[in-house]
Amino acid sequence: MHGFTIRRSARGVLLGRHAVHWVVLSALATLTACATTRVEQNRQMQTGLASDEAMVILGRATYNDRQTEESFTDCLEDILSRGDRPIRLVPQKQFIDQMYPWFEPRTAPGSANDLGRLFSEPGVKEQIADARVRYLAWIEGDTVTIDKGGSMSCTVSTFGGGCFGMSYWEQDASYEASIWDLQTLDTSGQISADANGTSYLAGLVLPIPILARPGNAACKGLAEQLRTFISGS
Amino acid sequence: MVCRMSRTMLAGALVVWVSLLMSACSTSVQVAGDVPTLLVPALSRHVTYVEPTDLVAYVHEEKLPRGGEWSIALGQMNQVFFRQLMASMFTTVTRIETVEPGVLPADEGEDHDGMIRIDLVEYGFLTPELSGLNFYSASAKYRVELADATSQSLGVWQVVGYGKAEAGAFQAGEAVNAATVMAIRDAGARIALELPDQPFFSAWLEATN
Repeated sequence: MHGFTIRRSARGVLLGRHAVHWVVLSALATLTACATTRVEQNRQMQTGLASDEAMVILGRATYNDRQTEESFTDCLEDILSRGDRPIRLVPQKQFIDQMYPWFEPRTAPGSANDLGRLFSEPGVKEQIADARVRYLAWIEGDTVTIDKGGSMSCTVSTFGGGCFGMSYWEQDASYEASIWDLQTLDTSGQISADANGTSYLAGLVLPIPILARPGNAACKGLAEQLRTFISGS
Repeated sequence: MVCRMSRTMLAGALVVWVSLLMSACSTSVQVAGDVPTLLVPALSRHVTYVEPTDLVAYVHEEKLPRGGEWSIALGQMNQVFFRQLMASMFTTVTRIETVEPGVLPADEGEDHDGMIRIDLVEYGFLTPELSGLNFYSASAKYRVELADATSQSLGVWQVVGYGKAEAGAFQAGEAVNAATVMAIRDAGARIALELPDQPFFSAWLEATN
């Protein structure tokens, strides 16, 4: 079993020139705050993907109050299917429809140990073989606001208007990918990505957002690590 | 002239504003989604699928305390989904439509093994404002009745399907649609996988083997 940690930090601030007003506004609109990402990997077996083999990314749906956002799995699919080393992906929706009713929230296998039982169902093994799906990556987690504060008020009158004050909110994005090998019917490993960042909304006549986007940072970190993990390099 | 134009523009703006305000208070959803084919071997039986008119014309209307008026038409989705489900569950399916509530039509000499009737008993949904969660959720309760070839009722089984969907900004209708489709799919999955295990159903399978 191998494990390691990658730490990434990104900070970007764009300042516009005062000469042209709209340039300043555009620049202010793209201000980004700091988001710190931590990616950890736990490999349990060797991996590798042939050129005709595919992977499916599935968001874990549960009946409790937490659920992996569809936008997060869409983000992962978007990054993994592009770039220098694109991975062939079967879209989540297409896979779930083809496997109906075996991957609905109520019936989906909860662990790799359930794969043996699932594969013994008539037609399941053949359907997965036809689609050439080698790996399933189950994504669990979500982005939550853990703190918020400040105040801002906006007024409009016949003489004009504006927003004054400052508010902030801190978000924590925590996701884990559990990768199952459908050839060996076992778990290949896990990758987790945690990102944290504080966003601000400053009212300087105009409301100026300074967004941290930890969910996006976690997506990028997890996607790149997943690509490396699956390709076996 | 300028004054008349201003009045006309003001009246137009007022009409647009009132229309927007009214549309914001009522949401109409025509439930639609993908209809999958079962990846489960069909039971080699000839059944008559009894499709009640109420099932395929079902519209849920509700006024929420903090969510405006809702009209959710899920009849059409019921129709295509359960026709597909029945066609996937059994090797031969004959369909008849009925307006009669709660009874199976009399046997008319049809050469079949039995009859199945599906009714939508109850539908409900929750908005994030009501649940306090970040999701729209929906549940659909169906009543499944099996009868033998002579229209004699063999048993009734009720099943509840549940679904939830993320709440995007200004996408309440889409989220309710997605949650409702999930609820119908969930009920369909339970019917496909759990109905054959119900004692009255397995007894019928034995008797018609």
